[in-house]
Amino acid sequence: MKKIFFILSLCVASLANQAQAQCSDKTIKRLCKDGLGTYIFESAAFKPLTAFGAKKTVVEAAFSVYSQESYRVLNLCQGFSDVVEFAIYDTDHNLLFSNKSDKSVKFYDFVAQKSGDFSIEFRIPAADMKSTSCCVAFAIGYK
Amino acid sequence: MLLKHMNLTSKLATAGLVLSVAFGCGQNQEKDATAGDSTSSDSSMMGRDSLQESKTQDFFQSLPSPIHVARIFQRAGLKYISGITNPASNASKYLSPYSKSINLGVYTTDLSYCTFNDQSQESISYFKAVKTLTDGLNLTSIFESTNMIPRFEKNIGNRDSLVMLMATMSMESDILLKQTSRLDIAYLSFAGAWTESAYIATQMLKNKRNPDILKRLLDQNNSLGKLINLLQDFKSKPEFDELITGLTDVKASLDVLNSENTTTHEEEFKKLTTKVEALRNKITNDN
Repeated sequence: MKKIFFILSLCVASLANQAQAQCSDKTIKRLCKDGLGTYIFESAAFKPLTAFGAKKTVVEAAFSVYSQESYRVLNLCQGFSDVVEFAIYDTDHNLLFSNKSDKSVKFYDFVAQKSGDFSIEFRIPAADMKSTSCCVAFAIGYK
Repeated sequence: MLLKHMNLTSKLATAGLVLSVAFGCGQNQEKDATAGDSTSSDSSMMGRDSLQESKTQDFFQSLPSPIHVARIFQRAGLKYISGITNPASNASKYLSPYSKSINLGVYTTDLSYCTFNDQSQESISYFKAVKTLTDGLNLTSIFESTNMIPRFEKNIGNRDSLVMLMATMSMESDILLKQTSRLDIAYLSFAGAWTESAYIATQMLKNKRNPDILKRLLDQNNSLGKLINLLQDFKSKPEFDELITGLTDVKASLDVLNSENTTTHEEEFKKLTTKVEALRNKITNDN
């Protein structure tokens, strides 16, 4: 009985650590450095998928932009079975970009036309809904 | 039978403890947007009695980088004015976590302002002031992991390299504060940075009107609104409440200046300048 509890606990701890590793500061920093290229780091956001609850199919976030400034939005989602689909909307919620047709695209570069809040949406693949090893993350860079 | 039951209960409790530790660590990244509990252990020096992210979306609100804001002002024509920044020597005077956090933001703006205006010696002083305050807030790893100060000194005169180093510092800080959920420090620091950049801009506009700088100043209204919302979580603390009041008052003037009615603009700009000056002086003089 003792052994079963110990093994069970270790398994759960290991699963939790997996999610944590995907969302660790070291991983996020490395991905930012690799993915931002010539863009300068502005901000990053990251959370384990488990933090959003089991029924979450779309994860949303907002970020500020200034008119005439150049930005890169970087999809840093990790640990999913497939590349996560993401879409970016402008201040009036017009769709600016989606990687739906080519999921291999992991970033979007643009020049903001208006100052205000843009939003980003991530569609969580159904196969990963209950996964404990996924991390939803993105970063913003500017020039 | 009873003994057996107790044994099982104790084992379940042990397993539960392991589980809670395991998942507790994972959740330390950032708080669940949908979770209503505020009972997590508090690693922040100032304490957090309520950190629910009820008014934001699925992530904590992404605020602009003070370094980027300084760059935007500089591109709009904001020139260096000697003596306008908060002296770097004040860094050691800030003793409370509140004053350290908020002046960390002030110094980040001053550092960026001096660097973008090629004030090398001033930049080094502000870089060190930022380090003094991050050390005081137990954020030592921001500088330690990248051997930042010697690299900064080595690159004096090379603005692009300095900007990259500042961006590295900003990334280390942003990710560390989010990883450890020390959002009180993040928001206060942003409040200090916001106020300092508004202070420098209004001081320059007071003497010489520049429509591009004015436009960029008015653009800051959006991030100010977000900041005020985020600070509400800490409203129960008197110093936060006072800060929210000051920032809300500044926002009221920015709202008027952003409105279509231009007849009151000149008068409102004077009010804004006075409000920003008072708030900034309060921030930099409190310790």
